[in-house]
Amino acid sequence: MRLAITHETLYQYSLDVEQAHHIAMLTPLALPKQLVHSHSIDISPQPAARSESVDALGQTRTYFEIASPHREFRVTARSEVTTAALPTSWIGKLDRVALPVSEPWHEVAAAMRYRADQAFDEASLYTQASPLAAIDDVFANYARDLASDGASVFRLASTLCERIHHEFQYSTTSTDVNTLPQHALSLKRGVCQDFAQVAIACLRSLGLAAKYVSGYLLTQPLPGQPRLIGADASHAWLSVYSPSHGWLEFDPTNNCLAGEDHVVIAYGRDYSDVPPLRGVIRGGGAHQLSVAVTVHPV
Amino acid sequence: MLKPSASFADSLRAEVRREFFAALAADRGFVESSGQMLFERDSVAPHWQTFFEAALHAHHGLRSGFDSSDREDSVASFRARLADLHASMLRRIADNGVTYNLYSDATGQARPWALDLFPMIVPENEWQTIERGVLQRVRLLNDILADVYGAQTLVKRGLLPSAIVQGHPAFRPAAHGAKPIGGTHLHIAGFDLARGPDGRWWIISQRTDAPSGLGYLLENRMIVSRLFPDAFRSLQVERVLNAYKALMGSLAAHANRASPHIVLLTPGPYSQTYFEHVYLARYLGLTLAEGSDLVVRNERVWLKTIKGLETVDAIIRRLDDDFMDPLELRADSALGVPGLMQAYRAGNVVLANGPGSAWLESSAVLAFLPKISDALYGEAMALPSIGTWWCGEQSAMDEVLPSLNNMVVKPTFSDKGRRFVPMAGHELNERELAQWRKRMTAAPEQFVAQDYLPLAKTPTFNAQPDGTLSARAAMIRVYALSDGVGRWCVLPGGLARIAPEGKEIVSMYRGGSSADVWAITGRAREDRAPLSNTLTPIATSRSGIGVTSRAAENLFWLGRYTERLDNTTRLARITLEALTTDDEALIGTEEWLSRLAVENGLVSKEVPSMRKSAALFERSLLASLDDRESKLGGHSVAAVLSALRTTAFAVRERLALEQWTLVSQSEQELHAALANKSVSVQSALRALERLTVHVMAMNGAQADRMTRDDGWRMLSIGRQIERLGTLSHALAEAFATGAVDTDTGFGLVLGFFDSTITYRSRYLQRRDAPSLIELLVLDRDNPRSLAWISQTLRSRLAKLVGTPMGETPELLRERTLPHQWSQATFDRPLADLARGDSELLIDCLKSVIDEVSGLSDVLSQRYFSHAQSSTSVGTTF
Repeated sequence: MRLAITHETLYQYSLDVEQAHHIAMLTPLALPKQLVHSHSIDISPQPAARSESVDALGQTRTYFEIASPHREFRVTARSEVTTAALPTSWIGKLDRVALPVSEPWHEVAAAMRYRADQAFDEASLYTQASPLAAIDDVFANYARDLASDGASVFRLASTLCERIHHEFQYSTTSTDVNTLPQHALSLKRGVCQDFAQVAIACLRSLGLAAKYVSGYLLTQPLPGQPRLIGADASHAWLSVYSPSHGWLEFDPTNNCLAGEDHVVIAYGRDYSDVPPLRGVIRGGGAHQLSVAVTVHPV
Repeated sequence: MLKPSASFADSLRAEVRREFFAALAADRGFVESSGQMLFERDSVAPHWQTFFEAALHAHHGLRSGFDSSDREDSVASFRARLADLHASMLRRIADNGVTYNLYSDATGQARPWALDLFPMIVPENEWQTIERGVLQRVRLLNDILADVYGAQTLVKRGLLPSAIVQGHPAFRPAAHGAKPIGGTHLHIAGFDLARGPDGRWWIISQRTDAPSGLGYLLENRMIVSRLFPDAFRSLQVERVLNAYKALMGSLAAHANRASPHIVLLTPGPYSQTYFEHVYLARYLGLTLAEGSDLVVRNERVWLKTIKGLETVDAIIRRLDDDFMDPLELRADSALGVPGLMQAYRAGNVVLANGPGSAWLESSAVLAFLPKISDALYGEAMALPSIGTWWCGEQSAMDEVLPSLNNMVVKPTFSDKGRRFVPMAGHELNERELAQWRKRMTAAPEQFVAQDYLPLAKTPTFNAQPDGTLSARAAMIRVYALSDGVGRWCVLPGGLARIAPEGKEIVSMYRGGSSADVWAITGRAREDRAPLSNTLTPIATSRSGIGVTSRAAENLFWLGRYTERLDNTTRLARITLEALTTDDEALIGTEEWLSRLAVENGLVSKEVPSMRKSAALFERSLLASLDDRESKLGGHSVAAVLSALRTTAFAVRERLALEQWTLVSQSEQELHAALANKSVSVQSALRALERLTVHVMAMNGAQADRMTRDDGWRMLSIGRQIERLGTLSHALAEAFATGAVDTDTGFGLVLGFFDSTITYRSRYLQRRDAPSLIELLVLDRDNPRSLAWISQTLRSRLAKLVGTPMGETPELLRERTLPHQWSQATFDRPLADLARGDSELLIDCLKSVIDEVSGLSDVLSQRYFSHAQSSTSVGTTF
């Protein structure tokens, strides 16, 4: 599906910001399943310096400095992409999906462990703990009963995501971007970032490889309702690894696999690797942030 | 075995000599203990022999008539000599203010640096092995860093587990793909080595992030080599200076600048090792900068000086890498520089060391180095690591568990909080070992096991209680420094750390001491004199680097506090002396003295005035003198001195050593003299007199020993502003209270202005207001007249060119200060005064106070605005 995305971030400050350094990760990744037609980032006020660089995973980071005093700061990212559709049998709620075949989870976990001179699987980098997705017994315990011996790695991931989807309450006020998944798990509340990071931490705590996906979601308006401009949001989900199949992306917030409605910006170990926009400012006093994302088919 | 120098051998038979050393040491069980460095088999190791013989030579009393019959006396006399040397060493440490902030407390609880009298001597054959091994290792570690932040082939080939690389919290994805200039990630690497009982050296740990010790090492060398100059020469110990020069040259070569601007980035005075940051910056001629002194513009690093921004080419980073950039690393770091990672990735700044090298400090890494070295170079490790097993590997764990009783267990990942006390298996019983096995099996990746190595011992001197020698467990830290692109050198020397007596754990943190390491390298140099005591900075930086805003602010306040100390001390003396004179003479001046005492913080304003209760006033004044923390509501002498010390500490790198020594000595002396609760007026006066002498010396040092740069100008401006404000106030109050109308009061005013003698010689016995105004306000030749002070202030301000924001300030615009006054200014005020109306005169004098405080505010805003903090902002969902 061909999608146009506008992602606007607006900061308003109560006092002048004298100097600001920012990094944006707002450029959609070019992938076999995702074609990027166009992309631009507009920044206001005009940055004194700006540069794009590509990180280790081929993702674009946009660095910029604003040296003139400002009270308002706006970043507008516009992208047009074509996403590939999933096979029909993979579409739908997770309990209805015919998951691709994958190995029993404990075999995968064993293969991910280091043994001298053993062939290395690059995915094992994502079995390691990261700042916002640690390895901890609380996660292993939360997923333990789903991890019966025969369960395939994708079945385990799928039932875990279903569990999170059903047990967690979606709430925008309970957590923030720095909330640890331990806390989100004890609250059983949070937003897509928390859902994804809890799932990632559970899988890693069982020795499996999982990574964080930062992106956008096309939200379907209610029947008969017009599409609301700016009502969509940045989205986050996770990707799970099986040596025979490769990566498969799960969306625990929506209880489905990530398909043509999902636009990938970046992959990371967790949110802290790929925040869409971060910055350090001097001055500014109190600030107000508004984010508006619009995704629509073209 | 014995190779004594010929002349000495003549006077001392080998057997007697051996007995002599044995006698020095025997009462501590020295001879019996195994694995020590003093003895080889049953005779004294040749280098120790040379050391003690040279020390004995220097001790002339022992040279003649030495035989076994008076051995006991000689031993006692030699011990006394060593005790003298030890005392002189302690004095040097105290005078130089060498400290180690044990609890990171900048308020003065820093601990004096612990140093042993004896060096630790590493003989030539051993040093050569160490040097070869360290050179090989630093190259290997640098190549490993280049790989894990590049192609990652080591992990892909299974030579390194990703759990200890990507799984280490100190791995920095933001550094991935960054190519440091010249390919050099590690400019400074530290290696902790221990010597086993068999005499072999082993690497125990690696310090690759921001290794500490290079400053302490230098200070140790300065002190110890001067205590034993003959031994230093006879042993042909290599000097360490060239290695520091090589590092500076290497940073210049990497920056590709002939005279680069190199800064030393410090976390600030709260850092444990702040002393050595100051020391190194001064010695190496670097600008000492805190994160807030630096800014990234256009992906380059700049230093904020009071003249504007200046480029920074290289940074010696003493800030842990996770704190260095709040934009990409720890967002809550207030110590870092936003954008520094980007400047580094863009290749615009040399970082010593590059970010992301701290994971190499994990003990687990040691287990994998031999295979990596073999795979990359086909070489075995020239200097082996202590046997190490990373328990995350099943086969390693299988080896470790059964032999845990012979092993030491450490954490795989960083343990900055030092919560993990390494487990020493041989100290545990079966039940405790079983608990450890259980703990390790539950999370094998988190544990590293190492062979237990009983540390070799080195001779140390026990000043307490009895001046004997003993053998203590020791480790040394050796440094590899970059020496041009793709090259390193090993600093010939090191920092030895010695365990407390009877202990095996060596840590400055856990209460050991340090020792200078004398490396005998065989590279005999022409010049083997001990390091000179004078600091001659290695000149590498460009001259004319501006003063940082932070330093400028501290210097400004140092100037103000020095002047305030001078005034407060003088006022306290004048007041105490007045209180001891007869009551009649004081009439008319009590109000003036009381008001000045309150205004200048000698007593709290709650204290009843002198006229109401002279006794109570006196007691309060005396009690406040030593009130360092202003608990009694004033801000008296000790409190000012303490504030002075804090600001001086923050700019130590700019001050001559003597200045610092003066400050700490003044504080110690004052406290010693006044600590007694019922201190008498007489002894307080004596203490204040002594302090006055110290303050004069501080002023002298500031006037004579500092370069006339913007930093000195800031100090001088601070001083003039303080003086102008204080004296204007005192004079205005003298007229307001009528103190000038009495003989005593008139004399006290002159005394406070330090102008008694000048006045007498000029005006003889005359006492009138016009003369007073002429000398204390208008006279351009009296350095304590208001006009002279404001004239000086004006000329200092005129020489400050530019501001951090690039504009030239007109700081004095629309300000009227005493140098603009003339005789005519006072025609009316003095005429009024003659009619008994002092209002105009007082207003005139008090206007100066307002102008001066306005000026001080403007200076702060223009020059010292660096302190504004940064905030991290992020997006939300």
